[in-house]
Amino acid sequence: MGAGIASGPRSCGISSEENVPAENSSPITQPSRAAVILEICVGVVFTAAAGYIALAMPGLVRQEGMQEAQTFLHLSPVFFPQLSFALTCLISALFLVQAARRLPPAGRAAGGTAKEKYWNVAIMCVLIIVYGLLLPLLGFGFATLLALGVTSYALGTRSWWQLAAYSIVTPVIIRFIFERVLYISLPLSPIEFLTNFEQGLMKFLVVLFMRG
Amino acid sequence: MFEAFLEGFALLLRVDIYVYISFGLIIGVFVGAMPGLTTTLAVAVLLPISFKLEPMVGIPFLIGVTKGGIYGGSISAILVGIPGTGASIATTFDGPPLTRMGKARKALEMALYASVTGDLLSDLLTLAMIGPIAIIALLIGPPEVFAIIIFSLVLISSVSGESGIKGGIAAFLGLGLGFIGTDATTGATRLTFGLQALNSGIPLIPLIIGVFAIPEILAAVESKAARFIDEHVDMNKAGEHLLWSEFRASLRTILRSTVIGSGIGMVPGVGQVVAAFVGYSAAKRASKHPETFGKGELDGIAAPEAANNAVNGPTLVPLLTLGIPGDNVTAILLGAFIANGLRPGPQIFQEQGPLMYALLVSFIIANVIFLVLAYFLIKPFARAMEMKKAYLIPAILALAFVGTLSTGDISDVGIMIVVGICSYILRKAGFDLAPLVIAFVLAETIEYTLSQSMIYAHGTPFHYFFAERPIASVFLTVALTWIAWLSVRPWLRRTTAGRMRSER
Repeated sequence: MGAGIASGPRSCGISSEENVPAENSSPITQPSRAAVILEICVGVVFTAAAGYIALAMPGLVRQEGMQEAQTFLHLSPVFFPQLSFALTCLISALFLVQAARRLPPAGRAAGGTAKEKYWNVAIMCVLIIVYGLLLPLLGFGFATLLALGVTSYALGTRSWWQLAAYSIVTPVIIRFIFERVLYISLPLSPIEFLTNFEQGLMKFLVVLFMRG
Repeated sequence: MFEAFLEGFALLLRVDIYVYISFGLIIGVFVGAMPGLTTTLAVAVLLPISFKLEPMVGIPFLIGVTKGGIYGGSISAILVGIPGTGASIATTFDGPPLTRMGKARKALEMALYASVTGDLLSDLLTLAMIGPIAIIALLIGPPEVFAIIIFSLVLISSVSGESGIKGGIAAFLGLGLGFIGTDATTGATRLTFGLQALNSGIPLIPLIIGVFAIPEILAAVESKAARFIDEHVDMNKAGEHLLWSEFRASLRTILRSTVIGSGIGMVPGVGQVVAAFVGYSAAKRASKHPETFGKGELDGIAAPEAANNAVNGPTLVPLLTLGIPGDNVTAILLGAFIANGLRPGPQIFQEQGPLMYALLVSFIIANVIFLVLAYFLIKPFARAMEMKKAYLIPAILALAFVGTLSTGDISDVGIMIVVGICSYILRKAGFDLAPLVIAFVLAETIEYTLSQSMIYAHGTPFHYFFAERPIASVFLTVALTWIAWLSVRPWLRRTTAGRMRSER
């Protein structure tokens, strides 16, 4: 299966280029300088981290575990992770060298479109992190209401009644289906007023739809 | 074996199985039709729902999502030339020309019938051969399982993404993440860096949702386009229905592609994209009029669609008999099995035979349901492609959070966010993360089977693996040879190219 957003090449070119995620560039095309720099950064991080863990592995086992088992198996809990991280370090170093040799000369910096593209992604990352931080404070309902409203606005919804309807109705439907139909409990806010409001709403919906 | 098969039929006499399969199919087609959103995203986000259902309901539900998603990808491929999923790239060769010729409905129906036929036949093949394979799998021990897993990981890593080296790093990263927490064999706690939350390891759900859902959400907002597609799809101009004679004319192509897809499906890591391309080129080679391919040929729709759907059934063979997932979706399915208390592997057909056969039969029935549903819902599915991102992306984000929260531990949200953002960066650097997830779910098995093998080896592991265990020896030798070949291949290419240049 095509992995994630890598949909591959598009042959018919009917729609705008933006529509097809194309991070798996064709092997024929030369990667951009920015892409190779990203590869180098990834290579450096992996080589350093894997090398450190491989060397420090004996100290990263908090309890030594059952000595009898280790003697019997001829293997300590350190062996396989150490081997695996040592190989990771080696293969990452190879990747780093490969990426460094492919680095095209400067002057092919990403243009304004690329910067704008990643600006959108950065905003989305911040929204996701803030949503995650708000969950334990506001509970699922209100945190999701805010997250949906802000994200939908950021993605172009400008009609206030549409924004309000969408961001209020969606969390209510999600909470109702997951909590009352699938029995997956979702977090509530420590603020009593918010919790009472959400639970009251759920009880009302249960009476309305699940009386039988 | 036959008794288990018959007992399995009793488990199928429930309406809720088919209701959930239908839901799964509809959701799958809807997500698959959206260019940029993949079937894997849908399966990952909906995985926690399957945990709350019985395995007999939850697993067919996920299979429904997968089957629907693969067909869904062909809708946008045919109508607007944008593949909804990687599996439908080859469908864009003949789909848009047929649409321009006013034969969109014929193309969509051919895609549907070819998908269902390919999938149905491959599921029947899987059902027929999985029992005997499971019996053979019972004869193999930990060294063979270890060797087969290593072989599979090497194969998956080498064929995934842009380069084998990136696949290898992803696989090792997955293994590394899998080692975090308590070692199942010795009870030692490893790589937790003092964080209590990591004592039981990185949980599967936030990892899967982080790897598959968050990067797709981030990729979808890269462009400011309001919709996934710009065109208005007018299904009133889609033309006439496919004729029986047209389908019959493509039947040979469909059967050929089914055989190709089924064969490819059994090999870990190769998957639907390759199957679709191989099916397409085989159909073109076998055609009496190959020049019509790429210009609006119905066989050009039938071939890739039958091939990519025929992969579905056989990918379950290594998963169910050996516990080895071959792609993203089967890795997630492995998680669903484990969460339901089922450990796929050589023993599962002995322990849960009726359930396994019932599941396989339900996958076959899902094809029939799919045929009916998709036939009547082609129009709404085509319209759904025009949905605004501003409504779909926030809802997917909320569902990704709900999926993670289903573990009952709010700190898992943090793991999902960190994994998600890191996965996005890795994808931008050209990494395919399928080997990461597959290695992660197999890390414990690899270490366990290696430990068991070391006991049997009595201190002479190399002699034991390569001299005393012929099956393990074959798989390890092939894996090592393959790695060696991949390592020297670039050097050989450079040398040959240099020699040719100097000769000129």
